[in-house]
Amino acid sequence: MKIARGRRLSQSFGLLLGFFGATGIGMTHLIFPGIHCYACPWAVTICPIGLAQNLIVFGTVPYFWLGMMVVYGVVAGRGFCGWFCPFGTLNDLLSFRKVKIHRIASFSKYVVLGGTLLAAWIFTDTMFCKLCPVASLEASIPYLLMGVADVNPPFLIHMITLAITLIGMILIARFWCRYLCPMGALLSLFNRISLFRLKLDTTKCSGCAACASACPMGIEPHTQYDNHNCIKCGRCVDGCHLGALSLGFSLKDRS
Amino acid sequence: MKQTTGRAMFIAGLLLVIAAQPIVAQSPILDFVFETAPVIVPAGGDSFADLHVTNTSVQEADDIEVSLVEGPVTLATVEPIEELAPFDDVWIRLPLNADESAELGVSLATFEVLYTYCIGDMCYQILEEISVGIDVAAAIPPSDDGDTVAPAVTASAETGVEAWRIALPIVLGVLLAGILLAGHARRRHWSLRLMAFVILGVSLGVGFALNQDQQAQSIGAVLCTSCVGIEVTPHVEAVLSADARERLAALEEPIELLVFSAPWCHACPYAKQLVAQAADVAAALTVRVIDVDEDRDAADRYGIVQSGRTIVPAILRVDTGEILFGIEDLEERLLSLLGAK
Repeated sequence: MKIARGRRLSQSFGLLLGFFGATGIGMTHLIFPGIHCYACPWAVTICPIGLAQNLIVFGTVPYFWLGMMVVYGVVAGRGFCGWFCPFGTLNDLLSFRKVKIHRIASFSKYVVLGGTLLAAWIFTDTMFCKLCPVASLEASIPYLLMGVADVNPPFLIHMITLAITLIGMILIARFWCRYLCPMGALLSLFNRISLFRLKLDTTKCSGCAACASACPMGIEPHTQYDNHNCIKCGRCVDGCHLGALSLGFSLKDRS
Repeated sequence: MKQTTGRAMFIAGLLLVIAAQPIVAQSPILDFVFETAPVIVPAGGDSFADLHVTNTSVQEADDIEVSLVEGPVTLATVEPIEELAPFDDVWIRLPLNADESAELGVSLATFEVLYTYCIGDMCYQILEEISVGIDVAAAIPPSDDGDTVAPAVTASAETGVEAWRIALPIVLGVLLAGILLAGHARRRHWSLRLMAFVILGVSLGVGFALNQDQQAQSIGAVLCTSCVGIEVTPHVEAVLSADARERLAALEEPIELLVFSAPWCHACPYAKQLVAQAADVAAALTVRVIDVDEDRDAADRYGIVQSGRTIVPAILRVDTGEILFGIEDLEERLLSLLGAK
């Protein structure tokens, strides 16, 4: 349970950073290591996906963005999804049903990522932001309450995508993170070389699959401990009674 | 499809996008060549420099304006070129004058060329500097037609895409692809991490050098209401209704409006058009447009900033401090703001 406590603390820190603008501090130069709408009235960080689209629209070769993505990827990969991302935290809170779905389906997030970048290029506009449920929750609703926005077709589209995502999250644990999140897709590319990682001691593992039943992402940590979908939340570590799995920072190659 | 093949295809696509960026980038589309260099201008007399402008892209260039930044001469007003079709070219004659007291000899004159071009709804404003040698001569008078006699040497302005701008993203992309593919093939991870540190070091270094962190910050600090789907992006021209025109024409009280916009904001042209039409009809109405990218202080000063975020488009009535955000039902809200009954 030590991991669970640490994760809650880290997720709280993610929420704090995400909404730090409530203190009156304006936008900083920092790119958020998760998906978090920069249009949110209280955001002090830039959404990596929103920025990527804007840079494509501007026609900028995104050196700063690329550098930051590699930093986040090498440090923790998808660990940010499990430990930091506020929308990931919401996914966590609604994770009631740990469903196992064919792994091919989880590749849909790469299609979302590719489609997002391609659409920005083709339409020279931030098309993904107009559908993004994170923006629905963190920008559309607050601005409606602040009187800046109205209930209009774009707002309703946002509400529909938010509703679909929320229903999906309730029916399938971490639905957004598994199938739709473009930032998760980006970070997952680094999952196997990241310093923060899940480790398996094969000499202790009995193959009981207790870890698999604990996993919110529907993977089997005892056979796929470096899976691209692993958000390194550590539930499998807590779920393994034999102590075969561990989570932490390591410079060494995996066992 | 194998997992690795899928990833390889994704990375190849990503690489293609990265590598293609310099081609579609917000980059100069005009090429400039002076007919003669150096341009000979008699001290205390007039002369011309003929500038050949070629559009090298498939986009139309608009409102090409040339002005003098510095040099031993002065430049008389030059009529802007309203449009230059794709792959078309045009000659611009720059009337130059050298003061009698100007120092004789060759020195460099720098001109600024400002123009815009649009890709779809997105318009870019390009500002380029071009230089040419000016020979202020006492002995050589201008010829009859005002042209100068000068050696037939052409000077090309530095407007092409520099090689490193294409090479660097490709090298970084290949390195990144190597790391990600080899990482999934379970090679030795310490060497891959070393490569990753090279990428992030170079990327961040170049990114900071190009002020991309500031660009990112300014993107995040301005909320364009249509960009994140708070409003519909208007694709129609703003047209004031006949009723609105009548009501505006009856305005007597002088009112000043400030329109806050950003060059990349899709909803802003609509707001600017509508307010400009209102100003045409209502003699009492004066309008100033403020680019928040260039004058963030004004946005701060007039309260266009909400929760630390500058919101565009925004229309401010200066005397009352009332602000309209966005373009939803703008005509009706504008009439109400102006008190047009």
